[in-house]
Amino acid sequence: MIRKAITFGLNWHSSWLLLYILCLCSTVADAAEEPRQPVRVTWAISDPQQRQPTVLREYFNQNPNFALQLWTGIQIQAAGADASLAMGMAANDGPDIFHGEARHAVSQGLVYSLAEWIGRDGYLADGTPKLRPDGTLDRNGRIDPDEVRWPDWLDLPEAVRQAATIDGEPWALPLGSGTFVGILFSRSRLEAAGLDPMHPPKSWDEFVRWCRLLYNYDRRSPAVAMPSDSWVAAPFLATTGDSVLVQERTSPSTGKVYVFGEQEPYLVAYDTGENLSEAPVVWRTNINGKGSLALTQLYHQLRWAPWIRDALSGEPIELSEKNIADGYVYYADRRIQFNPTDVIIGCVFPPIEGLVTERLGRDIALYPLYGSDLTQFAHIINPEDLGMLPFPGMTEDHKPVLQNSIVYAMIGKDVVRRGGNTEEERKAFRDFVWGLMKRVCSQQARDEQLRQQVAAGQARFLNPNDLRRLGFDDYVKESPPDYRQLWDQIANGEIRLVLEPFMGRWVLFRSSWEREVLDIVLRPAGRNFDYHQALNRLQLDADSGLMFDWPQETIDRHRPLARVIATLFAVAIAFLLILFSRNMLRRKPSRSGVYRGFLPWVMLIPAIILLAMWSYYPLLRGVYMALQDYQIGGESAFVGLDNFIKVFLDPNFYHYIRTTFRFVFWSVILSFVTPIILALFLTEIPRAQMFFRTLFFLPQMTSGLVVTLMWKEMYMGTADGTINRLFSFLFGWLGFEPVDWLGNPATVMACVIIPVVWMGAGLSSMIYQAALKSVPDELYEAANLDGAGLIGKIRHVTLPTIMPLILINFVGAFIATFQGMATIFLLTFGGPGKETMVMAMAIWQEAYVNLRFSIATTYACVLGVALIGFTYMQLQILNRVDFRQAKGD
Amino acid sequence: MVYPFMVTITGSFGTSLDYHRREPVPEFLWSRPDRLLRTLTQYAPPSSRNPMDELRGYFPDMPESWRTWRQIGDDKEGSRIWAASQLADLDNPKKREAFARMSLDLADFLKTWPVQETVLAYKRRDVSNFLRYQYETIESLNQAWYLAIDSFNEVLVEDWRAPPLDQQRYMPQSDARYKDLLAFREAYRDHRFTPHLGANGGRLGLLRPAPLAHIWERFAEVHFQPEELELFSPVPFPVPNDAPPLLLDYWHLFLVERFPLRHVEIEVTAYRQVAFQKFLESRFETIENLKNLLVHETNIRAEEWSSWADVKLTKHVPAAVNFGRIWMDFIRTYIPPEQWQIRNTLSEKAFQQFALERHGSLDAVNMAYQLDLKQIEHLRLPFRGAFLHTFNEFEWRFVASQTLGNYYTALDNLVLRGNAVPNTIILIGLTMLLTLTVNPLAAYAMSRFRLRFTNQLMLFFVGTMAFPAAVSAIPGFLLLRDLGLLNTFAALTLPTAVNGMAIFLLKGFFDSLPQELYEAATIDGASEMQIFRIISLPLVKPILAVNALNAFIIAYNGWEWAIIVAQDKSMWTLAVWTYQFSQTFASEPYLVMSAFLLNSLPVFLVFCFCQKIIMRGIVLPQMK
Repeated sequence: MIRKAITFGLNWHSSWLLLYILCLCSTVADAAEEPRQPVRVTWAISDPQQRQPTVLREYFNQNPNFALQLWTGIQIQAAGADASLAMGMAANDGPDIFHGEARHAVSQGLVYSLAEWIGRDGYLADGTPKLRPDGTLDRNGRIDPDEVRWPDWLDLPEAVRQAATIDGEPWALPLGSGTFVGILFSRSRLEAAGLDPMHPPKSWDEFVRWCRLLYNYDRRSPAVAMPSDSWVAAPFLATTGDSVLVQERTSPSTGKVYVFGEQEPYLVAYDTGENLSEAPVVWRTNINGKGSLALTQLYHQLRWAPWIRDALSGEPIELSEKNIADGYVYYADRRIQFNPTDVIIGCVFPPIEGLVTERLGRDIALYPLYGSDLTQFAHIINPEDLGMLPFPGMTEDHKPVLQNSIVYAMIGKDVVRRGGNTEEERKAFRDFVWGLMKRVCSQQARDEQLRQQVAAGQARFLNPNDLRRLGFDDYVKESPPDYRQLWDQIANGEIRLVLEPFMGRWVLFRSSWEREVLDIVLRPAGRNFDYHQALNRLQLDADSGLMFDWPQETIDRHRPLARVIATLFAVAIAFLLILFSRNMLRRKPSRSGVYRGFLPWVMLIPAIILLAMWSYYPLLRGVYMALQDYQIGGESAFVGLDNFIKVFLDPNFYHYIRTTFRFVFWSVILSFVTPIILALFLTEIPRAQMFFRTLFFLPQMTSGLVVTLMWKEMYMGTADGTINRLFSFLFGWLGFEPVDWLGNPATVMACVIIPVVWMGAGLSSMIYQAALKSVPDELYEAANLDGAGLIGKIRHVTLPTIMPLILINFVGAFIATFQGMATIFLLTFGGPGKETMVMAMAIWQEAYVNLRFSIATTYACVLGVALIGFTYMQLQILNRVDFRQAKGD
Repeated sequence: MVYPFMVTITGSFGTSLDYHRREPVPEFLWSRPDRLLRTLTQYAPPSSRNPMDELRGYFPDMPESWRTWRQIGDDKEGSRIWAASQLADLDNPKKREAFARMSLDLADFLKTWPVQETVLAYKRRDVSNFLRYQYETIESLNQAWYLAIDSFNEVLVEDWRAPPLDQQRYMPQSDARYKDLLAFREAYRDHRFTPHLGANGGRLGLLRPAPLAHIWERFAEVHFQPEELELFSPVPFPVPNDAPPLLLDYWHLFLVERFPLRHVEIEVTAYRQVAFQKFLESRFETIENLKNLLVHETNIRAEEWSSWADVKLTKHVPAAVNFGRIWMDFIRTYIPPEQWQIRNTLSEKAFQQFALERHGSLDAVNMAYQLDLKQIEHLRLPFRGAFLHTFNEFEWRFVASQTLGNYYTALDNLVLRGNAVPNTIILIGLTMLLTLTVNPLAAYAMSRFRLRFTNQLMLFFVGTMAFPAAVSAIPGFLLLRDLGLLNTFAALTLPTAVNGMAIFLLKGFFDSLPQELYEAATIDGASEMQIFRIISLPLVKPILAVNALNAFIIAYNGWEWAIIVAQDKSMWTLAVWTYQFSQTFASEPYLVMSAFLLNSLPVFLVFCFCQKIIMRGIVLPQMK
């Protein structure tokens, strides 16, 4: 018996040992596994299905020491799409070649500079400094012909080189010639509406008219899809002659400030004719400028303006408020009477469920979208039926625009770690990666694909420029005439070809632009949206960290105040802590009888070590990170309170706090009340307890992921979302449109709270039920004897008994909700706009999407401090109660 | 409470037709017309090429406004009426017989029909199974197809379902991918994936001859004057040479503008031979230019050509892709369509001949099919009859295969993918082991022994609750990185192993055990470990059981932390795969729903068996 017990005791320890060894082994195995590192590439991350071009295959055949491995991470929806790459980079495990936006990646230190192979500004091709006569480095921000080591660099278009060069170093190469963003159309649908693609709309007004002519009157549904994406909005904005980003250049001679668009090719002062290309420049955002405002207005008009179709001429007539009130409108000298049911609201619809390319040509006639040529969607729509129009100019005086979206390939920062143990090996590896990169980006790869398409008989749908370059000139004349016209007009300058904006942190900015302005205007709740104000707010955000950093002076100005507050705060916290620990440790254990053996410590040590390592150390490090400007790649500077200043100066921060409180308030109320109601309900039902129990428990047990995504389907904002379906009868009767539950600021908060409540209510109600049962009957009897009524009994007997439970649940729910974000992460990702951006979600986004770990930990610290009070309360209660198992079955 | 679950369950049985209806009880269970439509969805899935256009060719009474399956599903009333009218034909015994005849004929026709000219409504999972069978390892597939994917489940071959056979200059590629496609279609033709449809010879499989008549009909609708349309309709296909001249004019226009030229043959005369060579010369200038273009072609011997005279004009399109294109260009511009002949590679034409041969005469065909055709050229592919016949025989089987199909796909992608199952089991095991050792041991130590720092220690354990997880999450991630522990089970288990609240609760329970027990045991000479095992543990078993259950649920369902610290696919658990699945298959939500249900199944079972444990594990706070 005794021997057996000892073995068992040993087993407890040995299983521990085993576990540690297991964990250690898995680490060691990981480290030892890499005898030869394969090159890992993400250039095909968007389409791993694509055939590799011959150039790459040949390259790998010549270099058998290297192998291609696809780098894939997890897919995260919508705004989190880039998070996977970011997290991989943060784990020092990023890909060797990846694609994305150069500037953002470079500012985070994710990119390995190409200067080693291409050359750098201020140094001659052989590496010697290029000096001005006065002995300073001759730098102009560009890589001049005498500085270039890789001559092909100079063949790239000027604007592309500018976009890929940061601080005089080249960081990226364009991945092929990119795709073109225009308005795709279905030929047959245009024909049916009597519209001629050879004469595309010349102004926005005409574009609106087209959208209305294409409207499917019988089914009362728009035939124009209008995505909220920035790659549609940016070229549309460019047709106003305005620009999202502007550069302010100060003339060195007159001191006057001139404003130019981001991609302005001629930087010449309009009055003096002075060349300002070398003048000092300040970049800023221009999202609340005239053009942007006009564009948002256009979106609003397309989506919300009421109009009718003139039965006689078939022409659409826009209605004013007054017309609708009157019930008639004058058009072409006729008075046209109409019924309220004749009025159509808007003529476009937003594809809020993602790309709906498969509907192009079926029930969609126009769709602003990208495509390298007309074969882009050949598996869905017959290229014969597909065409592309440029974005029409704002008025006839403005030029139409086509956007060339170029994807940039970069070499990942982790490349320096790979390839071997000696510098020579690593250099050889780097050179190989560079060779791969050159080939990935070369025209050859794309040309091969083009030749295949020509061979497959699709020549007429290819870009005529490509055809000419490859010597297939005689196919050009077979292209659809409107497609040929498009390219001819680009060539002769009648259509302006613009790049996607690239300065600043465009990637971060564009998703805010989409989510906070464009998406809301187009969504069902956007009719009364105050987009003017939203644009102003976005402008403010953009220049305070989103697109460009805060001006340093602002931060300097606030630093003294911040220091004072921080000191006061630290004193207060210290005071609280002392008070708190005194409270907790009031009961001094008597010295006598203290166990002096080592056994308890053996039992305690695993827990202590684990907790110290995974809770306390990260906590301290987190606080320290908040005082740093943490960089994923490279050195992190200590910046003191700067992050806190930035956070407290940012109006968004207060918005997050407000949102968090709203979220917490309603969550706690609902998750507090619902279980009690359920518990009462359950007590009343004597039979089928097992069934109801299962029912109640299921949501609790089911993965939160499943439950939340299930609710997401319920909330679907189109007419066939479950809830909308369920109430369609009621809505139809009341004359409501289907509600876009998650897209409507009025409903979204309730929507993200309900699943959590739904999940937790079952278990809580069981606990309440058990608690109610646990109240001793004697107490009630005694109360009866005292002549207490029902209310008296509840007040004096029931409540005091279950009070600790209520308190603990209350405080626990409070803390949990403050930190909870899983539902929001899955349902809205903080949207629409920033309507549900609670603190925890903001932290996730700052850290893993924007890669600003320091700001994220700063938020987290503030959140932690805000919660200290509640936690203190919780600990106080815990200190005073005992937990007992519930009686009963 | 129940409604969301019911909708999810129905949704998991859904198709692109009825998923968006979101009914709590699926309609196909009680509505035959709905089953008919669901089956039709399977034959013309939304990802195939213009499925509605093709179907409208077979079912001319299909409403014009139906353009997507979803629309049809939403038009409940209209779709019911339409499907019921189709089903009405099945009540007529004569027609039913004719349908059986059509079905048999079509099946026989297909047996010798070249698979190049077919449309295939395959099921996605058949592709991966086929390729796995064909290539065995993913590396060999990558090598043959020049891809870089890491699982057979990831192969997307949308173009397999929808090759642009109706395009005028479509020429099939001659690469490995295309050869596999042909082999795959042959496998379908032999009913390797649908054995029940192959039995007794006469059912409509998911592979069918590619139709073209609908394109011509569409062309006629657009180009004919209304009175002409009335006069000529139904239009013959292909139009015979003795047709009225006006119709012939339209036909020739159609041939030049729209008709796939690989179905055309011409007479080769000496004059045309020379014209062809002149055409080549004017386009390529030197023969070397032409040979450069054809250098990778294997089906012709371009390298043997030395002068333009060596290049021969062929009767129909040469098998070489680039050369075939040139041939087509020549035919289209230099030979008037009146002189073109339609080849037997055109499905409709071949089937017309097949029917004539089989039944002897036009009257016999009319008799067998219960039709009233004036010319054999009016005969179309009997898809409708074959479909109705097959549906009639296998109605429930179609329902079952479609319903379970969603689950199969989800299973393939969740369970059979990567190391999902072993990972999940190991993770659950480790998590349970850790939480059941670390926490109880610590709690016991503090309860049993009077230590100098018990209160401080308790504060240390409970104090972590004071700080939001978000503060320590990022540095925790960085710490894991610095220790090289990312993508290990350690990363998934260690940071959350210690739970202050659990220690607090357990300590309370150990405290509540009567001291006399310990004293008695000590007097009996039991060692500390014996006391722990024999006395303390059994008494707190219910609480430990609940802890274990919670650990199980957290480990099984957790994904938020996992997607940050274990991004390597080989480390993903079922929950992570489910999340991934819901992202990849977002456009097919019915698949996502079945994945959800599959994912919830284990938890559901555990719950059913562990209800007692849960109920016993409910603890209530009481004032001391």
